[in-house]
Order: sequence, then structure tokens, then C-alpha cells
Amino acid sequence: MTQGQVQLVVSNTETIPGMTIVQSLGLATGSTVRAKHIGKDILAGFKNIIGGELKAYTELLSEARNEALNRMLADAAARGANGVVNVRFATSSVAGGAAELFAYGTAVVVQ
Amino acid sequence: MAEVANEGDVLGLILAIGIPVLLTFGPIAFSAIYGSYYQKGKMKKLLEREKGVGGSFKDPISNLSTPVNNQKILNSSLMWESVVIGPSWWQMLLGWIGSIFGGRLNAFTDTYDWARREALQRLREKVISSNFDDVINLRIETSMMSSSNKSKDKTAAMEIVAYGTAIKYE
Repeated sequence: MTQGQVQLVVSNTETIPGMTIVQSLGLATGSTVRAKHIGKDILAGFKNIIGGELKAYTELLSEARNEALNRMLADAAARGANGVVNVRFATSSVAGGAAELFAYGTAVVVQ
Repeated sequence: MAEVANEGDVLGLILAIGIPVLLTFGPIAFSAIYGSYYQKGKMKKLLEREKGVGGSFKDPISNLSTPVNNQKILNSSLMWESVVIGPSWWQMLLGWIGSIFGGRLNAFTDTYDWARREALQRLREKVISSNFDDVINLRIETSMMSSSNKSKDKTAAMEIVAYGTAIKYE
């Protein structure tokens, strides 16, 4: 994954496979809150009659998660890290069909 | 009644009863019949795709924190895929009835099973198409979207995210 000019290695394991961590720079976080689109919501309501995947929401959340992840990477890059380890995702629904997506991990310097 | 009702009256009676009944139970019947047909079709497609990965049974995904074999690793990257799933009206109704008596709710089992496996299968396909060999430290997370009891919004959606570290061997 790239962020600006810096090449960041991202992993959800405690170490980055094939590399060694030389310095830990603390927690890097990124979050975004997204609300549902009313038009898509109506379509999703129809899709709900037969059940199955709600593609509009899948896309919406993918976009939002990418944004949260990019913000986390920007945070890590601002600390001078070149990697983020132990990345976790968290989701919580805020009032009225909005969702908060949160990504966090430890910013590290790897070699 | 002395007279036999003529054809117009019978038709009127059928319409008078039929239309309200159709409007009331039509959507739920459609949901029950077409919904299960649709979801079964999706499951069949998924089973075929699952067979396609790796030919013989070699699953690239594991939830171990380190790779099993001591091969040298070239590079790694975080990868994730998600599915948002909503049960059909019919399933919601069955679930509601089931929650009166408690116990097992078979109506939901297949749908959620499909969604979780679909998320995993998408991850597999993404990893293979981006030229990685394996996924380690897989995590599956679920979260409810929307549908608090107070809101008018009746869509009940569950999001399933599968994420892990994709690795490429030298």
C-alpha cells in the first residue's frame, strides 16, 4: 500500500513477515463516518424482500473502509513510520443509518 | 338466497376478497418462494467457485500468526473483503415466530453461512489475482448496520469483513 511518496508495509500480524521491526512509534488511527444514500436505501429495501447481498451497502462500506485505512496510513506516515502492524478494524453504527468505520494499528519502523 | 348469483357478482366477490388478500400476503409469498430460490442459486454458484480455487484442496487462507513452512517471504500486504447481507422478509417473519418459542432458528443459518463463505471466497480470489500465495492471521468480523427498533428503517443488514495479511514467497 502506498501513501504519498512513502511506501508503507501494512500487516495485521504482530510482525511483518520477512522483516524486522526496529522502532515502535505508537498507535496510528483513522476513522470515517458514512451515512446511507436515500436512493440506495430504497433499492436496498426492495432487495430485502428476497434477501441476499445488499451490493449498494457493500460498496459503500468498502469505500468507507478504504478511507479509514488511508487516514490511518497518513497518520503513520506523519510519524515517520514505514510500516503499520497489528491492524484491526472496528465498526459501530451511529444514529440513523450511519456507520463509523475505524482502523487502528501500531506505527513502526521496519528494515 | 333464491336466485343464483350471476357471473358478474361472483367475479366481483372474488376481486373484493382476492385483491386485499393478494396485497397482504403477496409480497411475503413472493419473498418466501423467490427468495429461497434466489438464495439457493447463489449458494450453488459459490460452491462451484470454491471448487475452482487451487484445483485440488489447497486453501491459501489460515488464521495462524506466522506461516507454517519456513520459506523466505518476498513481500506482504493487508487485504480485506466484505459482504453486506440482509435476510428476506420471509426469514424475518420466521425469525420473529421462532423467537416466541426460542430454540433453533434454521431460517437464518444458510443465509449467514453463505455470506461468511462468500466473504472468504472473495478474499481468496482477490489474493490470488493480486499474485500473493497465502493469507495468514485471518480475522472475521461482523457488525450490524442500521435497523434500531425505533427507526422507521426496516432494512436489517449485517456486514461481514474478512481480513488478513497476504504474503508472497520468494
